[in-house]
Amino acid sequence: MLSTDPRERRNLSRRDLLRAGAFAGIGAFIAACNPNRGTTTPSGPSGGAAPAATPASGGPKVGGTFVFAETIKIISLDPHRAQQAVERAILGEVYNGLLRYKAPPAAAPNAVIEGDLADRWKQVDDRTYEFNIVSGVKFHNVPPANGRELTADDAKFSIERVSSDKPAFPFRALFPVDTATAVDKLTLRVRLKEPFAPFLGFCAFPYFNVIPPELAKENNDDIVKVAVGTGPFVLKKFDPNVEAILERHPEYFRKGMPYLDGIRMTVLPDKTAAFNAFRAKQLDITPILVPSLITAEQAELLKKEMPEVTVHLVQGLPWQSIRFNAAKKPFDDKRVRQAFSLLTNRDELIAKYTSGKATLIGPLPSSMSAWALPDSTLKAHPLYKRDVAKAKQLFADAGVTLPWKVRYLTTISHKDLVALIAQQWSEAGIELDTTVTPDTGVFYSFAEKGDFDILSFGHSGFQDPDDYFSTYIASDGARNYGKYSNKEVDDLIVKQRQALDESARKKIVTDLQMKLLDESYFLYLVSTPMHVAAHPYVKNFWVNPIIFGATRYWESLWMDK
Amino acid sequence: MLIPVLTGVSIIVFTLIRLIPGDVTYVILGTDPRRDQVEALRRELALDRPLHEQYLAWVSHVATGDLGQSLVYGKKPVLQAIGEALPVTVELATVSTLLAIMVGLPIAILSAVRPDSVWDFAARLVAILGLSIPNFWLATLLFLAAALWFGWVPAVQAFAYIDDNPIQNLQQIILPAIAASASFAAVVMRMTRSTLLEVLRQDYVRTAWAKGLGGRSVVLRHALRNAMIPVVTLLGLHLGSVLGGAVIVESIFALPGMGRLLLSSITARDYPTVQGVVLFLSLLYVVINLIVDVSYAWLDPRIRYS
Repeated sequence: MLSTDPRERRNLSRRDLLRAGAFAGIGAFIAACNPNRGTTTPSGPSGGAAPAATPASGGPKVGGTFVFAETIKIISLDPHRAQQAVERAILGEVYNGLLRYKAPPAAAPNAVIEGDLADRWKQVDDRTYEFNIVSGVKFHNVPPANGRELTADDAKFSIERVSSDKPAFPFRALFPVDTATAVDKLTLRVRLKEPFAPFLGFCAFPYFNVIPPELAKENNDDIVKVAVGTGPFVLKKFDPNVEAILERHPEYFRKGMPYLDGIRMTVLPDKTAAFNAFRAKQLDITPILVPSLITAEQAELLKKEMPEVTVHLVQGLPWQSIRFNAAKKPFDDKRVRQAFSLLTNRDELIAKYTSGKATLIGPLPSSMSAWALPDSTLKAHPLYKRDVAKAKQLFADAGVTLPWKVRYLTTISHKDLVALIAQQWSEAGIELDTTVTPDTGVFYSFAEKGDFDILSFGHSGFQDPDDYFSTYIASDGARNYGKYSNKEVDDLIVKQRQALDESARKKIVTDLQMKLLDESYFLYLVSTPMHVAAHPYVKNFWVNPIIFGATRYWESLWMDK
Repeated sequence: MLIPVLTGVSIIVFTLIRLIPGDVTYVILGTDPRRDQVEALRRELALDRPLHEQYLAWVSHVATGDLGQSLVYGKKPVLQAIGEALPVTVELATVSTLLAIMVGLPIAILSAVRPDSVWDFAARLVAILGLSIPNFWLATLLFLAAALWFGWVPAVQAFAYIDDNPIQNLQQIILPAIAASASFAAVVMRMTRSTLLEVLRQDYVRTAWAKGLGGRSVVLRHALRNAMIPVVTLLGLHLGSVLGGAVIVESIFALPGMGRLLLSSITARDYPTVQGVVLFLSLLYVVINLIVDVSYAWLDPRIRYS
């Protein structure tokens, strides 16, 4: 019996030490024998391409609440202003647009447009489109729409709002609307300011949603905290730092859907916690959005530890690139930019930065299979084949003396990529003076000022080629931070935007991509592999390479449990 | 002292948050805004006014108890955001502190009354581990161990306040509280042991033994009270640090507390929320230290304040 009397002291003897060590060893042995510990088992469902989303025999089961988590908090629920993919994850369930893309297996992801709220549409002339809206679509039965029927006036209001020139609305470039008219109760006519080939694609993109006008009017046009639409789920509860809870819309216009009773999205700031919550079966899938995705190593761990789980691997639309400050000498010289391309070993980046899971990209991400240059073309391109001697020659021809220290700007999420690139470029005597910014706000404040020689960043674009060219490359592009300007390129960008014939447009886009490879204002590096795991009871789940449309098709998601 | 402290804090936080490049327009408008959009939004949010005007406008509102509205989260009043986050952090701080004391004190006492014994050795080893192990690692390990080894995790859902659902509240708070308490328990152990060893050598303690008092009475009634003064000081510091800075534990366990609120506001450049939260935490810290100072008089009657 222990005594508190300090007079009864005992010094530590060797026997005591050995006894303590024996107890500790026995305890460790018992812990190691814990039958609940995961065991490594070989094989299991492999990753590879996303499996076709087919329902099991017997049809979908109705019921259940689908639970997932993301690590990013939600800032705005305004469908015409929200720009984060995590916000789109909620909005994609609450709202519909006029059009959307067909889901697999009916078509490759984001390749074929189908109707959403519009069941028919036509192009009246080179600037005018007409949409026929499905009859009997009901808004959610919550104020202020209170379950009323959708009309063309709602679509008119919405397209005017999304193309608004007001300061807080960022998407007017995607929707160059001149006028919108409700021809009758269910017909909307839209006239654009100019021929604009990407228009239908942007209508199908998750950024355009139809809202009831009274929602905006009763909230003073500030709808960051409320959402009332026609979508398969009704927003029941929303706390931006915590969670969003959605419940089935009982009068959804696609009869029989949605199959789920509800969806719950939790904000888990820590990626590891989200991963472990999936392993503990607290979540039905791992996070679906960049930067919350699980890594390649975590995907491998799941395949070993939980072979019944399906691990999807999809090449996402987000892409990694480098660009130069073409407003500064000598980066205005194409030879200098080409030299950097020749120094870059893209195969090594794929192997080491993405554990071999990414693909090469050109001016358009590889997941845009209808438009992007094929992998064979990229691999055969002379600037994609590493040649240090030729790079040094180009530097010399451009008057650059090696060794050379350049100022490199990037964000903390890319520091591993930059470390690899620095190693590759050092062979030619290029040294990087790197500024790593802690977040995108700081990054863009430097980038906007042109305070860099070279910068690298990941981008999440749209599924239409125009965004990649008009925004990043065109002389007046909002994100042309390197102030690159080339008249031939600008002309091609305008030409593809106005080419309403798709095959003609594809030819122009191909020519433009080859020109951009030669110009090397951007060094296009690798795609972003998206690893997402789902428990076996999750059915009809596929990973959308467009992260902004990640949840848009979950009306057909169901759970077999 | 309160007014000068809060004034100094307000100036420092107001200035520091604005020194970070990038402002809230990037968060609201995204990264593709036109220059005229940015300027118009800055005018709307009064961010184009001179800094001293912005500061005076803010301070004049604070003087009336209005900490302003969030620039980002739908104009939510800062006081409301604090009101929602504070109970979570207070509960985390309270439970973690209680755990630390419940674990640290008895072990420290045992260690002090049995110096150089196997118990003392084990206690000191545990204290070193508690100080060395980073709390983010411990938090992750606790989460993983509970999930994989015991098949149990706190529910991954909205935090349940204690008055709403006490059982779920306890489930959600216990693991983060353990993670947050580990290092403080170690500090309590070491500090209490060290001061108790000194106190036990004092003459009055020897007198108590000589009078024939029992061991429990001597140690717990006479000696421990005097040994607690440094521990109470540390307690005040610990509470202040948990109330404002348990960001990592809150992030891993998805607790919507003050640390997470502050971090997300800094990331979003939500100036009013950052300023309001830091000012509030400073006030809280001053109050806690006042309570700590007053408690010295209770612990040691020789200490009197005029």
